[in-house]
Amino acid sequence: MSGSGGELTSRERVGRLCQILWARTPEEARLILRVVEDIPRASSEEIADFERDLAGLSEYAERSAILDPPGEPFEAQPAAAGEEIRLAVAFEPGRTGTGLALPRLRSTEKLSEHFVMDPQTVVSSRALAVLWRRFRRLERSGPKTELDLNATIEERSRRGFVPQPVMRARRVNRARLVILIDASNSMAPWRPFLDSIETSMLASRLVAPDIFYFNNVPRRAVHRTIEQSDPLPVLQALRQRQGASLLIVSDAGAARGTLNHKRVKESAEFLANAARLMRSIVWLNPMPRARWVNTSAGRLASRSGAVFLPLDVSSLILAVDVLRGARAA
Amino acid sequence: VTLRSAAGRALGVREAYEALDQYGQEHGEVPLLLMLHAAVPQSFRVDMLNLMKANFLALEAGVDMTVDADVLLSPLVEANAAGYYRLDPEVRRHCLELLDARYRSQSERRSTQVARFVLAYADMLERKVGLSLDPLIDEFLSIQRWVAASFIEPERAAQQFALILQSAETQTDPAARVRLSSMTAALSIPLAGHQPLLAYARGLDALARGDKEQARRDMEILGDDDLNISGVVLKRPKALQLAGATRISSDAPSEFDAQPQQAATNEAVAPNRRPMVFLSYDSADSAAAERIRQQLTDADIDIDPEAVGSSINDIGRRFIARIDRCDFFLALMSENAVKSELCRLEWGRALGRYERREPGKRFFLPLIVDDSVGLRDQTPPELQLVQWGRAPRGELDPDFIAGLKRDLDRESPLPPFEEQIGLGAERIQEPGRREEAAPTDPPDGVPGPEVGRVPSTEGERVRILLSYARADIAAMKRVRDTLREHEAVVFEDADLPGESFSPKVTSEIANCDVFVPLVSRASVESPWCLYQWREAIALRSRVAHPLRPSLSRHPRIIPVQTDEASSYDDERVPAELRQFIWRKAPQGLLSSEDVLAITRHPNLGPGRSGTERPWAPPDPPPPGREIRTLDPRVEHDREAASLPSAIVPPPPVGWELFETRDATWALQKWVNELMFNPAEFPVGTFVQSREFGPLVAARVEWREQFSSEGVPGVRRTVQLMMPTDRSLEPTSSLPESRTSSLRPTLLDEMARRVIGAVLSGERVAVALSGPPNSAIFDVAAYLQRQEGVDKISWFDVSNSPSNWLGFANWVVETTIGTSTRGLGTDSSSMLRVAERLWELTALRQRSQVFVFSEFLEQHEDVTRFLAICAELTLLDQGPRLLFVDAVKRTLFTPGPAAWSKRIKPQFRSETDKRIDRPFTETTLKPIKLNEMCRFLEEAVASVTKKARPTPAQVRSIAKELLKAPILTRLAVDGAIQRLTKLF
Repeated sequence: MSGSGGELTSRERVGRLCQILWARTPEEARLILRVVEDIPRASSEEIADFERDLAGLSEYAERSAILDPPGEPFEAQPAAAGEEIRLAVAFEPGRTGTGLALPRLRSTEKLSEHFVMDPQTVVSSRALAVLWRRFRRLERSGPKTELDLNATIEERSRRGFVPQPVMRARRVNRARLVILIDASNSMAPWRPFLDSIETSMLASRLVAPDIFYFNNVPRRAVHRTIEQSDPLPVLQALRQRQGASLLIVSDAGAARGTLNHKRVKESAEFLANAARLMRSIVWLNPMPRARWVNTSAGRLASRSGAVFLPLDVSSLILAVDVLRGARAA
Repeated sequence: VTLRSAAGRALGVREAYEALDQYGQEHGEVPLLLMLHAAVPQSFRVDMLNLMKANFLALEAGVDMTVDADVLLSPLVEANAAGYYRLDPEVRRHCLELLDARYRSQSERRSTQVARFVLAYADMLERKVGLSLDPLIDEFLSIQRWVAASFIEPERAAQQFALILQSAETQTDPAARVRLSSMTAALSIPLAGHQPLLAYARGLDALARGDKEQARRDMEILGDDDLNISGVVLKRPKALQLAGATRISSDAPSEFDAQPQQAATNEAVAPNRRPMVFLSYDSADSAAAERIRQQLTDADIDIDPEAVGSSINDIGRRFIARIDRCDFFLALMSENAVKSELCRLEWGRALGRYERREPGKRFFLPLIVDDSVGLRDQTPPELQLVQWGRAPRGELDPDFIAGLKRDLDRESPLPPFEEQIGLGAERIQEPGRREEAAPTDPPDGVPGPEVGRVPSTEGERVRILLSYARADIAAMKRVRDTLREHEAVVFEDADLPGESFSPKVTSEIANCDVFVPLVSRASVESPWCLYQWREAIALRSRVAHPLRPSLSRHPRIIPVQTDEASSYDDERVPAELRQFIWRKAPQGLLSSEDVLAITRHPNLGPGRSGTERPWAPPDPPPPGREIRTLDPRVEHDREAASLPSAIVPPPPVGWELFETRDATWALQKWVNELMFNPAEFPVGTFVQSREFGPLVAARVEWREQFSSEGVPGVRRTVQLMMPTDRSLEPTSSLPESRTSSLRPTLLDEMARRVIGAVLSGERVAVALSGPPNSAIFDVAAYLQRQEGVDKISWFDVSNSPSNWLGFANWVVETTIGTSTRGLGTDSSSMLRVAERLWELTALRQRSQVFVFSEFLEQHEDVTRFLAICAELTLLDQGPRLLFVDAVKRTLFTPGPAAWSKRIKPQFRSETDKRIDRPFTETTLKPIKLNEMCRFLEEAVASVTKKARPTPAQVRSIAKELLKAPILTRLAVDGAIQRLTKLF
């Protein structure tokens, strides 16, 4: 800091400098600011010591003419002095007519510096959409509209002449996906993620993705909405989409850390039924693998043949690969 | 709307803490930290929790969603409908304290930071949802804003809230009413500093529901004045002024005459409200309580209608104010009550009042209502000293009711105790006062009603009080008549239950010269007799009380055994009574020698003139010197062991008695020196000395004592004395060097610490332990003058039946305010309590100063407990527990060196294992407490010396710490942070 020592006279300035140097996103900027704020304040003795050292240094510098003379003293404010309140609270009369005043922050424009207001998700919607695009099974189908150059050359060399170029059908993504999402209370923490699955599907270019919701175990009925209305018998739903890949998102009891034999049994039965109808099955569990131990999830994973994966970016890529049949777990 | 959660029973304070502790152990630090943050808002949503994590725990938690899951799905969090979650209220309180404690090194309180976030979140959500605000979110946001604002600026929030309450009375919109009541509930935690305001709000709420009784009770706590919150004046609501008027204003508004309640309260409009009995009982005993209530009501005694058995904590808190206002506290004792937390709470409160009661006034009576035995031993030690009664299934003795009624109807309380036991001469100059007191006595004669009117000095006659059981009335009469023949004023006090409540008894004991317990088969079984005896002994032991010199006068106690059935060794006889010389009087026939011994006047011995005249000793010596003179009034020419007793003259002018057992170690050694050197110090020698710092004196004199063979007689003894007016003691004369007397340095050091703690924003609670001796009271008196000292409480370790348990209970109750139960005497219980104590003191940011006397060391288990506390203290940064040895006048910040030097050697040999065992047995073992403490100390010391420990050392410490229990780690964290900051 020898060069900029003159400017770094306050915590705020140091924070800003660090932000400029390293922050790439507003979140990082805020994080840096918070880290800088959390640096413990030096006591006045320490500051005095430091300044004494600094003075010694500068004497040395003057003598050796290596360093520039030091600037202003470094934030000579002891910890006990206390900080001024950055944001004040203002009370304003209630607007709903109930006569209750609603206290508000007086200065709202500084807020963005202090608090992140975008909820964290495991995977962003955009990343999910990119991921879904990876999920494709291309098959040529429909009218032959595309020139098959290789076949044309081959025909030409075999026959000596070509009456007309060989055409072939366009490649179309035939990958079909059914997603079963657990909408029970234990999945509440991942609600934003579940929402983002739905939105990302719109940008996925998948042919008619189907999302159904269930409660704890997809036993009899699944629902078309996350509020669990519009029920449909689960096996009927799968039968209609026979041959598609099945993705299940559920904690399977791992979030609460419980072991429920009935739940394991029913889930295993469902998976056995589904395996007969579906191309491949992946069960995504939002809890990390370590937390499956001694829970229904762990029991189920060890007992059934389906692929069980935790919820993170690399597992998602693997899941998509398994679903399209490109890779076995 | 209640403060309780709708689902199931709410957790108690201790349960909540343990639940939280368990949660931390199961899930680790990060979810625990997130839960602490989530305690700030009154309720939260999933996205809000997530944002709190992103904002406050980004470094610790990252984007790990399992942390959210662990909080949301924890049993401590209650999921309301529609995606709103809230913490258990008691857990939330703990969380808030932990939160601020955990981040105490930051410049701003963490809860305030989180509250800022909550406000920002509310703004964000409102912007996002826009004007299509659904009412649930609207309600949620408005309450969040209020809660957050109350955390950030409690004063202004309270003011604004008061403004709203002011206009609430005219508010007719039911929606506003509902919001107001839910707001009151929500603000009860952040505005905990404004209890009156909250009580007012609750009262309004109850009023809005139409529950006038409840409203009146809520408001009653506020007292009689209007509530003023930063300039906003809240008046009693009109609907309540009626009920309130009976208590507060003499000019009750006449417009309410037509109201039906008026009839019930009319007679109470008198300036003095009607006396009220508070009935404390466990709800399991409500049948007995109902019976008692019935009987008392029939006798026209008012019972506090609110005193219902219950186990809900916040009701208990409300009761506390009522206990403070009641006139008599009746505690129904049963197996259930002894186990009830709430009952204990109420007893504790009532006992506190009992101790501050007007002397001689009855206030507290435990009544056993079931057939259980040994209940007394299960109650707090203080309670065991009080007289108990029995009322099987609530059936009361009519005499008891009459006595109680008489007590309660007494219009003016007795004159203060100090006046009653004042000098006789003054009493004679004021005959009018005595006349005033007389009419208050009941018209129907009970044994010994005339005694209250006996002048404290009736001529030169000695006043004797006989305490006897009704069964022994014949023997008593014989003793009384014999003594009366010897010109003694004799009065007696039987164990009539009706008379139990005579406020005279204590003053009678204090007023008499000789207290004669008639020990017999019947009397040792009578709780009332035992109570009187204890009272007399207690009064006597307050001799030369440095803080209460007015109590210095005390009766002589001469137990007289009236039958052969009871013996000296009978274990029902209070142990203290055995220290006196017992006389035998079968069927009440006293020997003439015993009669002489009893009727001998303390100051004016019959036939021996000269002992009563005052004698002024020469001027005190200069500092560090002593002066020897002879008190001419002490009999020099007499044989040891001869009876009757010699006359002990009163202390010389300007001096007062001071019991040897209360003296410091050095003084006791000095006493021994005088005692066993009869050649140099003959009987009558009066030595004034300043060798020990303050001026003291000792006189060699005669005293009744058993010889080692058990033969009664007089022996040579040494009586310590201290100057009556100690304020004249020139302070400059006190030596300044630490070695000659540690007294000034101790006090200076203590003051420095106390003031330091106050400056650093900590509150200080002082706890004194040990027998009541002058050293402890000196320290107490000193500390009392210090500003910022929160509370001084005192516990006599030697008095407690099971020392460590009583002590631990007391420590926890006085310093933390919760109570402990179900403890064993084993080391792990000790450790558990010590850990809790330490954690809680650390969390409450409150320093504890323990002052104890040397006698404490005799109680091995207590010392062990303190040792454990001390070792734990080292883990934290500030001096949270400070130990002061009052007798040796040393102060030590507990450190392994200081503490082990002091305590350890005693246990090194045999009990060493027992001390260390708790650490090896429990989870604390991996930390290796002692080593770590030593290291921390060294580290801090070396830092100040600029020689810094290696990073490897720090790393090893940190590694050890990771294995510690989670809450311990939270508290230790401050110390580690400080340490690492220095590196």
